[in-house]
Amino acid sequence: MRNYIFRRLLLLPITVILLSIFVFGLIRLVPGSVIDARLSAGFPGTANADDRAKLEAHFGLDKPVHVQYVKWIGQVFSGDFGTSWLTKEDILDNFGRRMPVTIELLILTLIIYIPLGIGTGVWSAVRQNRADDYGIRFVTILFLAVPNFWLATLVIVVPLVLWGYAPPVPYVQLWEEPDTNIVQMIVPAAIAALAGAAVLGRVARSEMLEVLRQDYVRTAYSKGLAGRVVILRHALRNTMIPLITLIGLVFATGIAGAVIVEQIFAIPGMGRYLVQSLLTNDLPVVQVWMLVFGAAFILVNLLVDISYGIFDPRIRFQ
Amino acid sequence: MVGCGDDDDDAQQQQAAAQAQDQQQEAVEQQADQQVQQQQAQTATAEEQQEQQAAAAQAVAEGEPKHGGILRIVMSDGGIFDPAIAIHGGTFAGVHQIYDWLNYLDEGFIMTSGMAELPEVVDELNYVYNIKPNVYWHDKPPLDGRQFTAEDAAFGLERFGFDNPEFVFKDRYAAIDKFEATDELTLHLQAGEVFSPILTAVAEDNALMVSRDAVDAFGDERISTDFEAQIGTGAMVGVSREPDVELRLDRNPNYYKEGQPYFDGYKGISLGDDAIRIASFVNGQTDFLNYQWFGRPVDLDSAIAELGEDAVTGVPNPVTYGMATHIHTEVEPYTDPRVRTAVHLAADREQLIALSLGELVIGGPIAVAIAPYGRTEDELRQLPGYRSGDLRQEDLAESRKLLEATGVDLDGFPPLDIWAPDASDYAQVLQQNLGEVGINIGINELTTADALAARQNREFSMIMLGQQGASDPDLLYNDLHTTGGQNYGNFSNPEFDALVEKGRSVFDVEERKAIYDEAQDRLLNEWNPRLYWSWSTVIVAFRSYLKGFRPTPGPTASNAILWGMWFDEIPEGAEQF
Repeated sequence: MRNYIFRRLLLLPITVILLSIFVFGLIRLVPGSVIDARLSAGFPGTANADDRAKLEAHFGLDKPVHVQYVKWIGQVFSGDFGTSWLTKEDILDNFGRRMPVTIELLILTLIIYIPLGIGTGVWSAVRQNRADDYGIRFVTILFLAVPNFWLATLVIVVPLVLWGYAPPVPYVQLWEEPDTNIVQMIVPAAIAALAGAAVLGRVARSEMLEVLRQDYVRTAYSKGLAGRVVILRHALRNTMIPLITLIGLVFATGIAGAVIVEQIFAIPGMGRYLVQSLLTNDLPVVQVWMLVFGAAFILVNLLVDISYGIFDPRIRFQ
Repeated sequence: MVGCGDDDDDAQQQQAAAQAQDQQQEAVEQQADQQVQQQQAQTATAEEQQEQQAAAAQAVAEGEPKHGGILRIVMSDGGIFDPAIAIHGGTFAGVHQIYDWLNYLDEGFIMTSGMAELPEVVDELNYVYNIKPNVYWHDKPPLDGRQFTAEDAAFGLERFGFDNPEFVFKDRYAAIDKFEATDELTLHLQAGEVFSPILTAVAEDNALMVSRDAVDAFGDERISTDFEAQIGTGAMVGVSREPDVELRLDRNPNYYKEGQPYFDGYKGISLGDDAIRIASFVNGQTDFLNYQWFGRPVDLDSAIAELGEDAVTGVPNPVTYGMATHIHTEVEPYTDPRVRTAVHLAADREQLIALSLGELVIGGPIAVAIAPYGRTEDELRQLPGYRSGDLRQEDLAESRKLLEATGVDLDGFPPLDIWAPDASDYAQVLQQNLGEVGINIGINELTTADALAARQNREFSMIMLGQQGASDPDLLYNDLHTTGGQNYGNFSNPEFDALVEKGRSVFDVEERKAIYDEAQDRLLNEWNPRLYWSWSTVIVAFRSYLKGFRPTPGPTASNAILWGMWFDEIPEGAEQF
């Protein structure tokens, strides 16, 4: 296993380099630029071609693309993430300020996502073809179908119309006012979790149904073990491999959810940062953002792979 | 005695010379007074003055201003605070409070004295601004509350033209050759050529004064990004900024307008989405419904539906931006002005405007807000292309005739590029309008970035997206002169160029208006390098416990005069930060 982890870690920098080339190239295929935003953002500036050329030189866009890439990746690997072209703020500072916000949101999302997904899946399997199973299946399909941006808007509008309630603004940090912060974060986290939990619940149900038909489960029941013990100690553990894969993927879906809910609920995290940067073609921010989260996603996948061996000792890493 | 006689003669000559000098001085002063009056009249019609008097009367009816409370305003954090490069409306939530103007454009485009009195126009090339003696920088290092001087004003204006690639307003003051402080409180501007928009340029939205001391101490980079480096002379002093979360400003106790501002502080709350913005307003967490630079009637309706009419006030605020359709005059079939005119005649402005649900008003080449130059809706509705009913049928017939005369292939029009989704509905209406005269045109939807890039790079045939704002009819030079910076459709016409060049060289309002009237007439009747159809009208909406709001002109429904507002009753949550 140690060799396996070592090999995977050795591959990591190569994967990240390939990812960086992909990200850098992809971003440059997007039409428009921060130069356009600067020169024509709705104000009566009288910029001309000369001003444009000067701005391009200022941002280093006059250099060949490969020169731009080498300079950028060199800076990133030396810990200099650069500055935003639009706001001129240090990107690393922004990451430092925004990352904890998004991590908190992701943790809250996981706290809701895992018990809700696995719990409803297991319950639905155990109560197969009864009213509560049908109810859970209906609700999970509903949450799969409903877009989370719509749900997020709904949870702002409905309480407002019914009770005149709105989420407290502006955002406060967890360590400044924990109670206000939790009130601000729990609803967006729940919304980010719901669609994923619905998927997890459906997979957990089908896996659990398969496991419940296995001989060893029947044996456990026939030994006189309580149903709760059979489900939690014997059956659930054997459903975990696909569920762990899904839970690993929640890192990606959680980030995608964060992009939406942070924007709607005005939470100053990494998701909102990406939206603002994408809308303004702020390339340095978008590039670093994608690179960092791409690398993090690769690491999370590695952890998921390693965890397979913990849940199923039959799995050997070669 | 001869000597005495000589002495008498000398005395008489000196007396005569002195009298002549006095008369000459008096004539210059009279001329100067006339020119200042002309500058004021340039933007103030009698009707507007009446409106202003009515507004003043309304302010009196609203009662005496009261001090106290923290104004809570929704904002979008633009992140750049340097007036020379500020391109984001959200930035103005901060800079318009922290910095201040020498002169500014008040309601109805009335040029109004700010930190300086209105200028003395010595002649067409020389202007003198007398700085008010009670203006002080904020009490923060390195300025430490020292007096604002003419030297500061000279630097503040000259800085816009410095050789920094990010400074986007440098051409605005390019006509000024000399920015000179002749004494501590007297600023002399000397133009190298006659340039009549110059005084408006000094009073523009962005013409905020940044100090040399601050630039020397912090550098341009920090002036633009570091909130600590924001030291102005404005009504509010920067306290803290949490990017993308909130901005806190405190009342400036040394503000030159005595007794103002009325608020103890100012909190800008950064909100990204319409739902939470409206919800926060309705449940009393913010006092203004909209961002500073726009306000939609539908939002006001939503707020009134929840709070009732008495709780919310909405004030129309004409601004100088809108939706426009640029035509590339070097791309077929638009190289022929008859084709462009046919498109102009076919567009149904009433239909287009109806789609905006009150956000847009019918507009011509110059925004109606730029009085007396902009045409009103009623005036425009009399003109071909803007008419409805039977007269529209005449316009459509004329459009068909023009198209037939050109022999253009009506199925061969390149697609209309549009800024989606903002312009999608309008584009479909225009597509239908053009269909009425036989033009078969497709629609090509572009994202904001793509649309901006296409316009900036002149890679379009006809494109529908935003129209730039300005405070002077000279915007036509920038938009359509052969050398204009925002002449995206590469329009080039020597007669038009001559007109707008002349417009820059004339101070007399009547004469200037005649020039721009002719330019607008010929644009709409002959040249049509753009399809003009709208300008925005913003509805500034706020809770009715706020008093003293007056609309402000310019590209934004600026919060520049928020310092003159006050809480009639301080609402819960606004007592302190």
